[in-house]
Amino acid sequence: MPRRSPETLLPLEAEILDVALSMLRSGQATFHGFGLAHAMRAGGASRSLTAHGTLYKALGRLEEFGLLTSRWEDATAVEGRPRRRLYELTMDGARVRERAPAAKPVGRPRRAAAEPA
Amino acid sequence: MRPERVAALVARWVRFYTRDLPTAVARRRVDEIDADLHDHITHERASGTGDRRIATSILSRMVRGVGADASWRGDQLKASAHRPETSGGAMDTHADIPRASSPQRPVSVTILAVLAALGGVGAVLGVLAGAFVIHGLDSLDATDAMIVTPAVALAAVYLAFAYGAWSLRSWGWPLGVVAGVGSIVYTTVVLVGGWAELMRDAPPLAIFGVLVVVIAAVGLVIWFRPGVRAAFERA
Repeated sequence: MPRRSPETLLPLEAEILDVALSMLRSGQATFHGFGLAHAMRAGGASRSLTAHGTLYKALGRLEEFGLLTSRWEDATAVEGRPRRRLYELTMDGARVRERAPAAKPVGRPRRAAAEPA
Repeated sequence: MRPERVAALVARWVRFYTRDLPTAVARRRVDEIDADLHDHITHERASGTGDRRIATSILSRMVRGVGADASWRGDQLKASAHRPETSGGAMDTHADIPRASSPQRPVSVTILAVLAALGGVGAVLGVLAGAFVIHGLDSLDATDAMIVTPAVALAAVYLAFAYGAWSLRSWGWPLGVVAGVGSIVYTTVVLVGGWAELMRDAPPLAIFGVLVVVIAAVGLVIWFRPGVRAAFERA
């Protein structure tokens, strides 16, 4: 099977970039896995959080394409919890997402819930 | 059913399907899921969700993702078969996932590399034409040397930068900063010092000089974007 180009996004990947772009526009440049899953549940039709395997595989794929970049958060700034992997939308990611048609939720969108700390 | 017990089950599953993978790859996945599980439990409890519901949610996320976990493991095994182990050990906290494919050069880097290559070649040809054809080596004085020498040095920087940016070498990024700042400083000094002369004898060169400063300034703004820097760090 030929390798996908970065411009060819699966629906989940498009949705991740949508949420990342929306977060960036609201002033939140970085996000982590659970935060993203929570934001996707709040903004989409599904009542369930995205599965671990599905989410982190998609994040890895988007990073491989250069549409996201990631780094570990500063260990000294973390107290009482495991450190998170922080993701950030790249210029190419924003460009690819802005060019592609918006990812549509399958059902009725739900009201946004409070952001996890 | 306590969420912590289900989280421990998920953590064991993650360690199982990451076994035999390169240490850095396995470590990253384990640590990321650990953080996710902690955040999940903490957030849901803070929202008032009951423990049973939290535990069910965690279990559901694990089960629904099993296929993707297996597929991801297959991809990582194939990728690691084509490259040597690069990790410093299981506790290497700063290791990134070894890339399964060659790094992606952002379009902006490609454009700047091409412009730098053209600029470098153009500068070399311009200096050669001026020194050997138009003026002749014998007629070059100290003032000419003060203009020509930095131009030759800048041309060399442009060409080295073009190569470094194209192939995403780690030194390509700082050299890009040097090329950009050097262009702006040198061209500005030449324009300010010889504006009247240029406008009289060679107006297109004056306009070209202004263009060089503008392009270099825009290039520097692009150069400091996180995505550009990240491309060099990933490579």
